[in-house]
Amino acid sequence: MNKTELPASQPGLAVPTIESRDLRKSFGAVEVLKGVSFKAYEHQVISIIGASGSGKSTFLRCLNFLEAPSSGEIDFKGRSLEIGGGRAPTRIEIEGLRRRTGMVFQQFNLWSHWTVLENIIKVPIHVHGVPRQQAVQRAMDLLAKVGLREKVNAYPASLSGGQQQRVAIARALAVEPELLLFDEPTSALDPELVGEVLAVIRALAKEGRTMLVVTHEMSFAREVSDKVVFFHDGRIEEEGPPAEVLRQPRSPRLGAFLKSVR
Amino acid sequence: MNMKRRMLLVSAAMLVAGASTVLAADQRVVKLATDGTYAPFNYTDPSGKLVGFEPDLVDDICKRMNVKCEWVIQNFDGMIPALNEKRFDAILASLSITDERAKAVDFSIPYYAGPTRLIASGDGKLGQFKSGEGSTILLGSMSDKDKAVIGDVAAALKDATVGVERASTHAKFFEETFPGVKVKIYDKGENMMLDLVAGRIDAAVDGAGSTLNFISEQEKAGKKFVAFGPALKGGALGKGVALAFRKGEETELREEFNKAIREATADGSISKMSVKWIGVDGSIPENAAK
Amino acid sequence: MNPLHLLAFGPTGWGDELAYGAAMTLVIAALGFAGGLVLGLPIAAARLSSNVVLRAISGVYVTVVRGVPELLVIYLLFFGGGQFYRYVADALGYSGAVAADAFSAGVLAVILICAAYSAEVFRGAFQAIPKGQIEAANAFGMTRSTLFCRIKLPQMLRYALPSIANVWQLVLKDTALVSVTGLVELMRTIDVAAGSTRSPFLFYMTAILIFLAFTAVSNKAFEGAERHFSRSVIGGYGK
Ligand SMILES: Nc1ncnc2c1ncn2[C@@H]1O[C@H](COP(=O)(O)OP(=O)(O)OP(=O)(O)O)[C@@H](O)[C@H]1O
Ligand SMILES: [Mg+2]
Repeated sequence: MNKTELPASQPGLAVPTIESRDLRKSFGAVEVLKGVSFKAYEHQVISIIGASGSGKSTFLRCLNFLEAPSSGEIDFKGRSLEIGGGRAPTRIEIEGLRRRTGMVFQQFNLWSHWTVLENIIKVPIHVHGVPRQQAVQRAMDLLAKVGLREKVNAYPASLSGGQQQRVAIARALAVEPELLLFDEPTSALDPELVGEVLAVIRALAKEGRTMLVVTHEMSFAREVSDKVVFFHDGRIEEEGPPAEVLRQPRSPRLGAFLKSVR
Repeated sequence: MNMKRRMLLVSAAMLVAGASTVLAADQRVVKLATDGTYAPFNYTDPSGKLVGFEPDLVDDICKRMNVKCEWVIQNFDGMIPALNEKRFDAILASLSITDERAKAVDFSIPYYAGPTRLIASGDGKLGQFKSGEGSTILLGSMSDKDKAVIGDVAAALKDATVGVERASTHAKFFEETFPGVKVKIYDKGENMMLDLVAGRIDAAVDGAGSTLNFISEQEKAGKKFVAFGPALKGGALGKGVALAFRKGEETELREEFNKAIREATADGSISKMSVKWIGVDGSIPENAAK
Repeated sequence: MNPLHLLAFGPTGWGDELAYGAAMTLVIAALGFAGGLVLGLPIAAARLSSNVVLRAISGVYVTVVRGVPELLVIYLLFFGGGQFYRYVADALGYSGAVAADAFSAGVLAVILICAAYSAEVFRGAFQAIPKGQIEAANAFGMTRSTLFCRIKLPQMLRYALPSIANVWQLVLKDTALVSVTGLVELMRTIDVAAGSTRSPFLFYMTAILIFLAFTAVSNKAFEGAERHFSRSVIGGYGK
């Protein structure tokens, strides 16, 4: 198995934004994550690829405890949240971590009883205590950025999938997260809508945000990521810069996977 | 304002179980339950005042007992449970004595028994029937003369069809008293009366009170109907209506009421009051004798 | 004589009595409904709780109250409560007579019945909330109470509203059962008037019209509320 290497851009002793050590997760008797050790540094864009059922989503959801990991450790900005064996992280610790991350889901998961604006400002106001005025100002800026200013008072149900996902991205950005998690953000979209969402994510990558993106879009992974991580059967099978991992896979399984998606 | 008075009536009902028998130092208070929806026995005028035969009767007998009687307004459906809950001392609400109820409560002697009448068109043969007119026959204790009158009625009904109501005591009474007469049984009193008007039956059996109503209503419509033969009471017709007390309790109070009812029957007070309110004499002469 | 004079207001007619009875019916229904909804919420929460004991108790409550005739609940509280009240009074060292008054017993009965029905409505509505929206709220670090007040409750109410309108109708009709206690609400007034004047047709028709009027007005109100709460579903713009 590969040891994670610091990319050249990283100064020697930097603390990872998020790190997992020997992370395991079982659903009943089935072990879905079989010891995942992983690091993401500030400003890194990391693509997570792998076959369906290989544990990509489960891994991402364990990082912010939407799934409770069975054992292992997660460090967020150097602070450890130990799981199993030791002390389980408290709800307050978990909430603290979640407030510093933003998540974008495959199915958008916008709150359907709120307008676009409300979807974006409610978390800053009620969770982070941002003054309303300021939250609205920031929401308008973000909507301009994702190209949806005119939809500010629309309800999610009246938007296309691509528009909903762009709102969901604005919602995630509104909390000024230190880490953005994307779980297949374009998989639920009609092919003609994928582009508009990828464009927004590309722009975010250029801004130097720290992002973990579970994706099936190989070209996106190649162009945008600093690092590609390949999951197989609950383990990280191979990882490295996209040019190496996607062009000259060392693992035969990765080779087979890349052939199958091409 | 009558609304206020009405509210007082409500609060009286609410306070039912408040202080039970203390109150006025000299006079004992007895709480009696009624429904207030059964004209002309007990009903409510638009000002909320309870009126009718039974309120008058209570004024009379409570005076004889030297107690202060207070009304508690209670829906008829919940009356026996409320009695057992001690929300009042007794029920006085046109409750007829039945074997079934007697298992749940102790009855006083009956204070009223509505006579039963036979009714027919005034133009027909039965309308002209004169035997026993104006008399009341007690089925439980008939003299020879009474038996002769019943024989006359039976003879007059020989070829007739007579309507009776299924749920009442009338069906049983009629078969026992006039065996062999052709009977048509109705589920509803109104249907029976409609058939009588249409001539599909020759005569009908009904309580004296409703008979009077029916006759006066038909008179307005220009049709003549009459009650014929003697008024009938007792026997299979049932024992009448009485006060009900909690089973096994209030024996003394019950005796006091029995005594007052006997007196009010003997001196004709109940007879007078029932004629005034109901239009027929519902007093029970056997009571006075005891 | 015109039979409608019986419905006149004032000392000779039943109009003011009917108005009083109708007002009483509305008061019982409103208190019973409000109390029932407030009580229904924690019962629904208990039904959905991961705690086995809470789930069992609330399950039994909802099944029993919805399973037995409503009249029985009223009888139990008004007539059957005596021993219980006695016990409580004795425990408090009070030896005087005690009993539930018709109004409290009636309102309490309606609350208990309404709570059972609305708990089931709420439970279904909570379950209808898309899981993803709750997950999103969690992912952004909402506290449990923020999640409940800002996401679950409003979404749940939107799904519950049509069925809650039915519960209101049920409550409105159940007030008529409270008349067995002798409490002078609309149905009792109608009974008294019908029996006392021997004009059942007139008064029962009047009762039907009054209840229909109540229903019509509340239907309008619920329609408005539903429109308000489902604007997001229709996908209109603005408020
Ligand atoms: N809540 C759950 N209970 C039981 N098993 C689960 C649960 N969630 C996921 N799994 C199982 O865990 C395994 C990994 O699922 P996961 O969703 O992480 O895969 P994935 O790599 O994201 O796949 P995909 O590309 O299809 O999204 C699968 O076999 C899945 O069936
Ligand atoms: Mg997945």
